[in-house]
Amino acid sequence: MPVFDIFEHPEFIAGCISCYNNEKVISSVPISKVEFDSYQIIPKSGGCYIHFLSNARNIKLNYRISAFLGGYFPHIGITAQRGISYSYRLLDNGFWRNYDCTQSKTDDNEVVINLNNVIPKDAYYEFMIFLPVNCFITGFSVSVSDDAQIKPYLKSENSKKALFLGGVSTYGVGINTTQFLLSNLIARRHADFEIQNVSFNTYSYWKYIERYSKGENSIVLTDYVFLELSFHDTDKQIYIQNLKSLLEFYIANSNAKVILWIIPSIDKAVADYVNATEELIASENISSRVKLCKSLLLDSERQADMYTYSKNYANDYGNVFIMQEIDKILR
Amino acid sequence: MEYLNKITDKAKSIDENQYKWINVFDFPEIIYGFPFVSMGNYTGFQKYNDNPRKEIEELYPDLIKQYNNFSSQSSGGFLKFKTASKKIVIKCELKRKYDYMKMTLWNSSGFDVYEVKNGKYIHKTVFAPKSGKSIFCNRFAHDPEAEALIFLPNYNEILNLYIGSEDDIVPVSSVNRPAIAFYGNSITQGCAASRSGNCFANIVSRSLDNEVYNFSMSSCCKGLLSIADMIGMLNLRALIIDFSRNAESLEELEKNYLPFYKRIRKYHSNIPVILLTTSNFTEHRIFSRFDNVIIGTYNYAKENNHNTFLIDQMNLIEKDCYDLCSVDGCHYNEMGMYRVADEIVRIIKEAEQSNPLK
Repeated sequence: MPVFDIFEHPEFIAGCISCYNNEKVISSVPISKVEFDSYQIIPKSGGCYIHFLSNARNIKLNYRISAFLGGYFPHIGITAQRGISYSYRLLDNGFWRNYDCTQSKTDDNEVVINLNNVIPKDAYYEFMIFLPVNCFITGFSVSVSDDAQIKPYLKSENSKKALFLGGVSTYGVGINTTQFLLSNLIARRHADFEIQNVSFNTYSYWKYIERYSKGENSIVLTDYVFLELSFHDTDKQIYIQNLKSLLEFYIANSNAKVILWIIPSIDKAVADYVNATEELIASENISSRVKLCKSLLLDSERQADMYTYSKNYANDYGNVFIMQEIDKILR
Repeated sequence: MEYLNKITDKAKSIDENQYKWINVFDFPEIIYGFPFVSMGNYTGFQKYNDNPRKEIEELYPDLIKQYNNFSSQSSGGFLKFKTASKKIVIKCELKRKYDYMKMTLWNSSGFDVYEVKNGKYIHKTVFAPKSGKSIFCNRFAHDPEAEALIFLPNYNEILNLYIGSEDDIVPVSSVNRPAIAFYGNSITQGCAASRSGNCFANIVSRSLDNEVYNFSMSSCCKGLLSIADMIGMLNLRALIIDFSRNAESLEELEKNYLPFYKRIRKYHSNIPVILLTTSNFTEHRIFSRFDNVIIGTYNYAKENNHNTFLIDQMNLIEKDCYDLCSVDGCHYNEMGMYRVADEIVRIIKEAEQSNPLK
């Protein structure tokens, strides 16, 4: 039975292997690039996924989690915090389906996935396994039967690099399972994107994303930057200064298109900030490089009820809505 | 939020003496969603009479533990009252301390607060204790001009519940409208909504400004005739049935589904009954066969001129969005919950226009 230790086969990973507490971990950014602040805040395995093609009828996963960040997260499903979730798509124009998810009650976990009732005989499919947001993955192996095939999903030469920068929403606050992390939703809709999720579990994330961006040489190669705009208790002038500084950096140092998005909101104060953002883009004459998802401003309380918990957090459907609006710009 | 060791402990973060306190269990006039409480038959948040337990013990003894757990959970229940107080304090003891898979704590253990003004529902806040805690005290702001409506946890049992306010708590005089009942599985109980107010039963409740009885039970929803008899005792506006996924086999569903429906019709010959096909967004082959049983029951109903409707859940979601509406191919996030709720509301309104109840 072929067993792939993913740590020996990083070609299966969308993410990177780095070192935390003397252990190899899968993380969305190299730990050394974000060691400047607390574990509570830094990106972990969230935004990373295992991606492969196979025709296996059964898949066995063995994985280990470590450094689980406990605490008060009533707005992140336990499955998203420390479990894995997985989705499949039949090749030949199949659509993505969410198959299931796990909770990881212990640190060492085994999952056997039986696809007999959903995959036609001999059919090939694409498979994504999304990793948890509040801990690291420190061990991961995939096993299939001897007569099955499995190989990593390799991006094409023309694949686009997509960088997600943000705070709590990009990090995963608000989601039930990791299938609904915004960067993972975009990953399913644009499987050829090379995605990196650089998000910080704090409302005061600007200084961290700016620090990360300016310290990271590979930024210049990115094709898209998806930037979370959050106005939580931020003075409008300070917000505009932060945004202007970051946009100037990306425009000067990359060819990336920057797509700005907000948590869907009915709040007039949020609309005020969005209008100020629009004015900045116009006054700096950067609209060819910077797009704003203004359609995320909502019309009704009913929409706010559907998409959000409050003005601070989008739920799964809110992330779907954000993805769909971003997708309109991408397409 | 402040965590307590015992429900009788005094909170340290607020001066409890500044508030008037009621024990909610002594105040059934503000409790909605628990028909036997308002009949005065039971204390606490009891949704069922004794007979379903006896039937589960006899027919499905392996499920008695799940039945005992899920049947006492407060899904579908809410508190509704008026007060001139600008602050409300909830002091609560829940049974379960920990998260459920596929759900946030704001759903499984969440108190989801709305304000109702001129028939309009405005969401205010949601709160739940953190993982590992079950006894807490939480204060939130309230608009004295509005009615407070608090949806109760979908996946937890309330052992004790007190409300503190600066002024009297007064029951709301509502329009006397029969409740809408739901009988389903974990999805209908509310699994995978982001917060407790957003399961589709509660969305229907808000949309129609109507009390709901949510008799749904994760994993134990078998079409028990004792539950049909219990539902038969109640004055209802409509009934929604959604329980195919808990059947162990096609044979079991064939044995239970139509007899359950017929027993309901023995008591409720005229109310709209809405049958839901299986939520099956991984297109699992077995559930397509289950749906034949449900469609067969619907056809039987139409042949007998019943006021019965069918919702094919798969038709509510576009094929390229199956991975966007549920966390695992069946348990809905808000996308699925709202689509189902909107269709239920549409059918109830249409049914009542064309067949007004006497």
